[in-house]
Amino acid sequence: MAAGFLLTTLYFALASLVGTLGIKLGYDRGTSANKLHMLLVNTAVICCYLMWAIVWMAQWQPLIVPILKAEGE
Amino acid sequence: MNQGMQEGGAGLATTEDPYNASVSIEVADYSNDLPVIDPPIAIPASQRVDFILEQENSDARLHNPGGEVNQSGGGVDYVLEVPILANDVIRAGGLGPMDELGSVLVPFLGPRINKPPSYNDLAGLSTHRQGPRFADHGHSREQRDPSLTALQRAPQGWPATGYIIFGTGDKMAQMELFRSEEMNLVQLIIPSESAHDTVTYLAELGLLQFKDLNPDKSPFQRTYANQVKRCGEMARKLRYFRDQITKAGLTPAARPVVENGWSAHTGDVDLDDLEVKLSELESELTEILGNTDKLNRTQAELTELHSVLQKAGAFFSAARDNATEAQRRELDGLSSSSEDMDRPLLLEQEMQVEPSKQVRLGYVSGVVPKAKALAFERILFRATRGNMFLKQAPIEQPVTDPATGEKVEKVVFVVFFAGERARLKVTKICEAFGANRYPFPEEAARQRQVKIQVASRLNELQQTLEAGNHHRDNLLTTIGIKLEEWSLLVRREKAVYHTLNMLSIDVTRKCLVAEGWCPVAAKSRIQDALVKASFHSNSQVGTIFQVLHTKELPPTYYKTNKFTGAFQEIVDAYGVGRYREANPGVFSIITFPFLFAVMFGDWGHGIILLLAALYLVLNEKKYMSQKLGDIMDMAFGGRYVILLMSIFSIYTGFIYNEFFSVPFKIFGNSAYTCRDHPELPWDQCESATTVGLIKLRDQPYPFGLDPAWHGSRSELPFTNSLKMKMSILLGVTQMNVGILLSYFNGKFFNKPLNIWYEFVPQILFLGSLFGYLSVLIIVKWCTGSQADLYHVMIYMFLSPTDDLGDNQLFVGQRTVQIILLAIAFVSVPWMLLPKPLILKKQHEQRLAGRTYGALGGSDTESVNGDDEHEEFEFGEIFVHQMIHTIEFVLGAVSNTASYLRLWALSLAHAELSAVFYERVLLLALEYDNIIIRLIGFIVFSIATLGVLLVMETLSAFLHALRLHWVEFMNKFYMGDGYKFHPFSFATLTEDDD
Repeated sequence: MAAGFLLTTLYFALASLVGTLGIKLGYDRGTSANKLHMLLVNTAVICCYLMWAIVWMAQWQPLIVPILKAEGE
Repeated sequence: MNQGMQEGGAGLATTEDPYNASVSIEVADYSNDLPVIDPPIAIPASQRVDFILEQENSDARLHNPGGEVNQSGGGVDYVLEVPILANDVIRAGGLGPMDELGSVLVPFLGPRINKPPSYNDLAGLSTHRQGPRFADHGHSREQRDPSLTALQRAPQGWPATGYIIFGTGDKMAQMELFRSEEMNLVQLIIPSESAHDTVTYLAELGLLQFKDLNPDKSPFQRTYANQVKRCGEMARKLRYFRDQITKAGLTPAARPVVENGWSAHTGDVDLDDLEVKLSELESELTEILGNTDKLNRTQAELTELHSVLQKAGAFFSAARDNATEAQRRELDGLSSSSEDMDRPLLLEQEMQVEPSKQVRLGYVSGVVPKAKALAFERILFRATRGNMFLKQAPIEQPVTDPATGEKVEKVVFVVFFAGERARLKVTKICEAFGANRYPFPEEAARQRQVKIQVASRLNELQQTLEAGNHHRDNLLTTIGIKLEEWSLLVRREKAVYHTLNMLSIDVTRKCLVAEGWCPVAAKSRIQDALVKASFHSNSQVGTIFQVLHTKELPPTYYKTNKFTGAFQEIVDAYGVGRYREANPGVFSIITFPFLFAVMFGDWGHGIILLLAALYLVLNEKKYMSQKLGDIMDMAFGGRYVILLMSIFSIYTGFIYNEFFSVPFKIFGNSAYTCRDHPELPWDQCESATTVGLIKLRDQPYPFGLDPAWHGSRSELPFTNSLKMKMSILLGVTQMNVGILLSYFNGKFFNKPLNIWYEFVPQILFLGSLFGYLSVLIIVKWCTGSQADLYHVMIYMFLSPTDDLGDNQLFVGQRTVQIILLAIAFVSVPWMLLPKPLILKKQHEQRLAGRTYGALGGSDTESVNGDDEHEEFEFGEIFVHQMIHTIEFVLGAVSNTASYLRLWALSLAHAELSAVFYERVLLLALEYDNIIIRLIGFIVFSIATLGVLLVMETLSAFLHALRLHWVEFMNKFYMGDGYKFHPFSFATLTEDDD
């Protein structure tokens, strides 16, 4: 099936994980600030993922195909 | 407050009884000033400094006890394990940011346990929360209930093990910015002698918003009205100095950088001294200026006199020459038939009359402005019936008018007339025309003498004036150096007195009472400032600081930084959040730039925007200090918003595969190939232009839009369908997040009615209609079904029981739809009816007195008043609920449709950039002429910059703003709070003069 989809989904999940851990390990500003930063990172990843997934799925089983323009059109 | 101290002291006295022994714990905020430690410890800069712990009895000092600091989650940030002796005095303080440390500091006395306590062990201690620097540091056994029970349960004698826990104590530490800061209404009772210093220190701190306690008093009736007036007067003087300095062409010294705060800055200047000094300086300056004015006038007059002497002297000598010549000619008996045109008629006549009948001719000389000269002459002529002679000569350079001090072009005139009456007339006319008359001696010798005198006086005057100017400039420069400092001081003093006017004065006039709001977390710092202030003012009595309990809604205060501030501004522009309600700003930080980018997807444009934003961000220090224009100020204020917008634009540009409307094959080859000959390139494929390319492999283009679509005939149908559906999916997601936040609000404010009768039906309603539509969209994509979603949705309402036929996307769809429809229909009365009815029932029960027990102490007192109030409002509550329901139900449709603007704007952006690229740039590049190409490129650049990067940015920004303000925030955001405006010197601006 859609191995490509799952793989990229995994990449996004990894990005989220790296971001979250990165905040905890490399940008520790205290519990409450960390929570905010984690929320921001994860919201960003989710937004980006949503958009990517939508475009991917829309092109997966296409109902119409690209019809190129003829010369001079 | 001091009670605890005394009791603690009492505890210390009875050392024999271990149960009665007390341990006192003091917490200090060492983040600003390190305590004097002996022996001194060095804390490396790289190390995150945590704690300093001192124990008096045991002489044990733990400084930054790294090994013993345990980090554990759940509101406990750090746990220190310390051996505690009876009557121990422990001083502990955090060096880290105090907001996260030390909200809880509990002595946890008990037997040695294997692991340090976690939050759960301390669950019972949550009532024992303390501020980081609590005044009652002596803990008596009554006060230290939880720890004491632990001690009593295991009386193993001293030393016991104590745990000092730093942390917020909340099981779930609150997310920063998600809710506004907790606020307290506090009351300060300030001894009047230290009132001024106290307010100054508080303004320096900037964390207390004073309430006006005399709102009914006019500004003149207030206690410190006089001082405010004095400050106003001083500010006026300073403004006068500033005007004079600019007039003299000098520049006042730049604003001194305030680094060490108020005390370092103004420590040596007293307001009274300054007042005296300012008046002295003012009178000195006025005197200098007055003298200079006088001198200037004299100089101007002398200059004019000088001109008159020169010009009139020339007339007279010319006339005399002519006259002598005529006389000579007459004497010589020559015919005078051919008279010189120049010859003055009057003089000629004079010559001709008998000396005995000679009338004494008078004359007046002076200067008149050139513009009036003609009218002057005419009036003179008429007034004297032509019986006069006017001679004039223009002065070459404009001269200063003595009366106005302006440079005017003037004319020297001499009027000759006969008779005393004519003199009067001429004099009056001269006055009316602003003509300055100057005496002109008749004798040549005297003329010469006067001329010399005038010249020497002019010279003298010039020197005097120069000296005067020098003196004035010196004075102004001296003022200029201090001017900014003084202005700052006066501005601050005025603000302080203004604030002091808001305090209510005690009848004995011995102390002032202030009320105000402050963040709970800042209480310790405020107390600290109070202590410093009373020390500074040598006050005998300290300021009393106490928290008042009120039902008034506190102000909303978000602790933002330069990054989050701009996003919070966007939310606040809609409405300041109600106290502690969920803050949409937290989500907007990401979703706002994201939705912008959905409409602005082009990574070429994104990179340009990014460069602009980076320029602003990297130069922020430079721009921060200078004044910018309106538009630039706006762009600079939103630099981090623009930065995120551009980063997301670059991302969505990759998704849309647009770089100035050129597709790139960054993520591999297109998934589409030639139908019959997959190996052929597209341009050799015949069927590509008729039936189109074909997708042979299962996987689509891995990231973003397939480059094959670009410029194809089916591009628009495809991208339109895609972007439209994407808009709905993103919109439904964001709206659901909004509704979800209303759940958090209901939970936080403990309003189960809002959760059960608003949140649940709302999310069901939206889910069963548009959530279902979203699912259908995804199912259609994943199955490649040909079903018509419009048809499905419309007939779901019109005839839900009909067979779906070709439009069936999954098995059992009809049943699912019927159930969803039923849920949606049930949700509407569910939203509308129960909440007002339950509220009514509750209040009836309360009226019957059956629920007294459940009510809190303070509520029972005012229960009757409340009930009458509620009953009166029942109809209103119902109408409100009805409006709310209708708004939500209709809004569900219209808001979802509103998200289609994402599609429309993104389409417009893509099409515009395609037009500029194809119709301008490519068209120009077809020509083999460098000039046409250059012009084409310039037009393309300007169009891209002006239309796409400025106008499109603006419109996408506004649409993203609307989607947040209306579609997202109306799901949960009340926005009826008011902002926290602490009295602070930092926010005083020059306009406050």
